[in-house]
Amino acid sequence: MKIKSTLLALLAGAALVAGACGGSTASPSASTTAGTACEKAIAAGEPSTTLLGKICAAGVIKIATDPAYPPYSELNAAGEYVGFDSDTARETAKRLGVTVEWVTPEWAAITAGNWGGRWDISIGSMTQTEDRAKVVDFLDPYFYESGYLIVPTDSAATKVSDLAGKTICAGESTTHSTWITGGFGGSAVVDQYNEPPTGAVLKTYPTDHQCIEAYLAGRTDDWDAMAQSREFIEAAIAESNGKLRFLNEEANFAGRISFALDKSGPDTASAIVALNEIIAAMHADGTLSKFSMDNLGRDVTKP
Amino acid sequence: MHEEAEVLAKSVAADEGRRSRNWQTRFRLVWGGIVFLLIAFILISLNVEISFIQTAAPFILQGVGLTLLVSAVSILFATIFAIAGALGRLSRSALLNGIASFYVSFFRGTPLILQLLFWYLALPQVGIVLDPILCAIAALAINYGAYMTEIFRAGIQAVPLGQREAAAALGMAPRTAFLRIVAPQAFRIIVPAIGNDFVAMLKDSALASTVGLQEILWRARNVGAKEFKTLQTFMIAGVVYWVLTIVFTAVQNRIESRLSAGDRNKEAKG
Repeated sequence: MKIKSTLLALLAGAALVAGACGGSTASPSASTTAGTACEKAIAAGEPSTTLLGKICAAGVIKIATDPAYPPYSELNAAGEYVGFDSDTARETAKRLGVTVEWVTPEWAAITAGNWGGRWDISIGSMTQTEDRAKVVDFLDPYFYESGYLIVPTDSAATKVSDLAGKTICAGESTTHSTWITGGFGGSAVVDQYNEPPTGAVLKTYPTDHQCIEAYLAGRTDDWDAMAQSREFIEAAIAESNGKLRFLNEEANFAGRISFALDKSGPDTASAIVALNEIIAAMHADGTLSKFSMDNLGRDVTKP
Repeated sequence: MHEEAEVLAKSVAADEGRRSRNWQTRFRLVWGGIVFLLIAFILISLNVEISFIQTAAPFILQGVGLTLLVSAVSILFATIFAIAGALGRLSRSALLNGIASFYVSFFRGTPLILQLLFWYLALPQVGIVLDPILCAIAALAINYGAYMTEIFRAGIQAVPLGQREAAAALGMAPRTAFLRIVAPQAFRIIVPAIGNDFVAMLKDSALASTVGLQEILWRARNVGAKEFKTLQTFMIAGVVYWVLTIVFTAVQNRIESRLSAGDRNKEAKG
């Protein structure tokens, strides 16, 4: 407790210093005439005990990302993060008025909540679900994504019900794995178009890519189908030399993809307000659509 | 007669030299052959793309510094823990001996990867958030310290009791005898073990990739995953680790031979 209050005092001190500096130097970004979200928050006396106050006081936002999830986020050979999520994350930090520090935890550690302050936010293609909402706070969606199925080219299956009782591969703790093990019937945030195949057996790897890689390496008995997004499946098919195909053109479910904040961390209320304003502005001024076109070749930012 | 013997001796020596040179040549040929076959097998049957490797390898190599840093700092702390642990294990105090033997039993008795995840996942729940690099160092140093404790204890006990008795006979206090007589001799036994453990640690540091530390294996996994080519990047990582261990094993052999320069036991054995 004592250590905590000392830390808080230090943070408060840092906030004062950051505030003073922020006031004395002109903001280099000309796009925001009214100042960044952090300048506003500090001017309004945001306490450093909240998540927003903590981020603004530090001048840094720690963003959890996946270094190998193109075209959303990818650490390239030059050591830079590129992709739709990465662009969105950088723009969000810019509008907050802070710099980005990337953190690269395992996906399951992000969706499990209880981040313990190791990162402030997830900007990593997380689909809203009721289960996840128990441990993280979701912001307004920044894009929309649907789940599809990929099967071996020589598979006899052409519709979801053909996969009854079959093994379906997915990444650990993904919405695709949730769909396979019961689906999203009755969910208010995920629109389910197809029930999962009855009696399907879920096979998971720590990352989605390992499903594809195991199959292409010759483990063709590993699974009968694999569940992921359209972009992922297109990349996998391109890599497979004709060995894989879409099950069909039907999406099985569609989700709202959002930034996530840790419920167990500092108070998120003011951060939710500030970030939702930024997301709304990025939707309205075409920034998100541009990032989507740049990285995915189509606009996924509208429902 | 004398000349004949000399000629014979010379020819025997030459013969031996030739034989050993022959042996060296064959030895190298075996190595070269195996490496050649391995590369041929990989190139022919594993679908390797040279252009992909050319872009992936530099990215993976950027992790070498971090791997070396984590291993070096960890071995330093492991050595400190092991010295403390060994003194505890040799102590007559029930408290110190109890703590040291619990340390050894617990950290040798649980998987290293669990210990790493403990530092990474459990500590934040009580408000202590260690950076991934500190988690990796803590896990490696404490785990290796437990193993090295036993090596250090054995090293100290390997110094013959007579040495201590002789020191006592000369009127040396037990503490002085330990520092001046026992410790330097134990040191000679212990140092090769530290070198061995450093080489082992270079490889075990790959476990830190599970907590997001961007060392060699993490880089190999991530640069490979996005194009579904981790097999190729894992092979690059394998070669990098192998070269590192070859280099550091050579360094360790150097240190070992220098340390044993004045070792009468070894000289006597010839």
